[in-house]
Amino acid sequence: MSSSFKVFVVDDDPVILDIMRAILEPDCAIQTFSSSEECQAKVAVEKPDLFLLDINLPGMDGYTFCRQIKDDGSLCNIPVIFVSGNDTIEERIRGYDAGGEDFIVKPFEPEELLRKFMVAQSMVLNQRSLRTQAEEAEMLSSLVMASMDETGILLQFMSKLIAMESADEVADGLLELMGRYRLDGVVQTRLGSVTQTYSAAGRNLPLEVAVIEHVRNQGRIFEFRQRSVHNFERVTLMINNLPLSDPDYCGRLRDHLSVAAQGVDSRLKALHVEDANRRAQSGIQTALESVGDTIMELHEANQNNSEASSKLINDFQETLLNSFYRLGLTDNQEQFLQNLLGDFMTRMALLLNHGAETQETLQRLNARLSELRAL
Amino acid sequence: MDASIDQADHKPASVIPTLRGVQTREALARFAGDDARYRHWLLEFISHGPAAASQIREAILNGSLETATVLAHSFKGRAGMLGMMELHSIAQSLEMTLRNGEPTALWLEELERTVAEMSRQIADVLGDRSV
Repeated sequence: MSSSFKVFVVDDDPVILDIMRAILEPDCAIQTFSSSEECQAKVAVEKPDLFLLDINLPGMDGYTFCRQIKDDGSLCNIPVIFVSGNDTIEERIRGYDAGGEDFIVKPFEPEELLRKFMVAQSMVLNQRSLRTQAEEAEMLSSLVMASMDETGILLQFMSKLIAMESADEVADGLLELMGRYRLDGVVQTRLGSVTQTYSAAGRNLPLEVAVIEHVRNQGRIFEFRQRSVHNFERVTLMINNLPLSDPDYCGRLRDHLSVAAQGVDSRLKALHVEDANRRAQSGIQTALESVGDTIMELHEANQNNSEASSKLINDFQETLLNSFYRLGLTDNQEQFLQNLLGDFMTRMALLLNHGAETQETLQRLNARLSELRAL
Repeated sequence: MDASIDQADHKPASVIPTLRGVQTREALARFAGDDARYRHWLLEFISHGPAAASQIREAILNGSLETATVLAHSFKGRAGMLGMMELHSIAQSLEMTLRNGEPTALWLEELERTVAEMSRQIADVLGDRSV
């Protein structure tokens, strides 16, 4: 026996069985039976890869045995070659109707038997190969489905990540993602001057912080034993229980976690920029309010000055006119001084009117500042 | 036919001698050139051949034509595989006669006579060497 390919031969003539053995033994594992019933008993415990059946047998004939083989779900794919002493079309049709694959006539030449054997063997091996391919395709399909599921988890996380508003929220999301991948680990975020370390056990646990601080400068992806570390500028993700027994799953997890960590890094950067913008805007608002207050103070001071100036001028005019009587001035002198005072008062009134325009300008400026603050 | 028959590659030359009415070269090839094996079955024919012919006659005499047909068919198969093409042809004619329900006496006698000759010939040619 030089092959694991098993052939069961049924013939009631020991000469035929001996010849079959002599021809096929070098190429297969052959077992011979003198009746269908004897072969049936063996088939119940061991299945061949090929049947060679005589037709005229004592007891159950070859056609009947073949039909039983083809009706049995566990045997129906095993090819059957009839070996017949009668080469008639009727015999061949009966063999075909019984489900046989081939037909060989006694006395046959060894080359013919070998050729038919090899064709059948090739057919069986092809069927096996196809079955293996089908099984592999099914396995691949399952892997793709699993991978799609894993990718779906990642996509869900990425879509939520965009709306996350704080480092805490981002870290919690990342821990949840790891949980859905059946992973345990630690996340550290670095947002501006604030560094936080998170895990399912708590926040900023000293030992976890110490380990993360040790691994955060070990390169973009760093692995040791069951641990896998993904380092980015603003985030470090450390997995503690990488499933090394499943290398394919490990490979896919590396890819998914790398994408997730990169996304988190980008989101933290955006949060940092948004925070800086908020701070700048708040500063401008404060400055605008301060300028507005100053303008109002200036406006009030200016108004007070104008009122005080008017009152002072009016008092001065009244005091001067009353003093004319006590000075004993001539009518001409008094008229001259009155004209002089009238001219001076007119110029003062004009000057005070300019002050009113300044007041209006300050009011407009304050109104504009109010508008800017409201933006 | 040559007394010495060419064998399959890497095998010694055959020691099966010429037998009248037997295609020993083709038959030996069926035994993959294993002349001891072939010789064994030729010698076995000395007893099997006449016994098989007697069984056929007995079945015919008993009116068991179906059994006689099966026996003739089996005999035909073995004779063919052993290279006994003349006997194969006679057995085939007998089988056809039986199937067709025709008189079998002539073919049966021919079979018995040829089997007896074949047995004698084998015993004469191979008898000493088979012991």
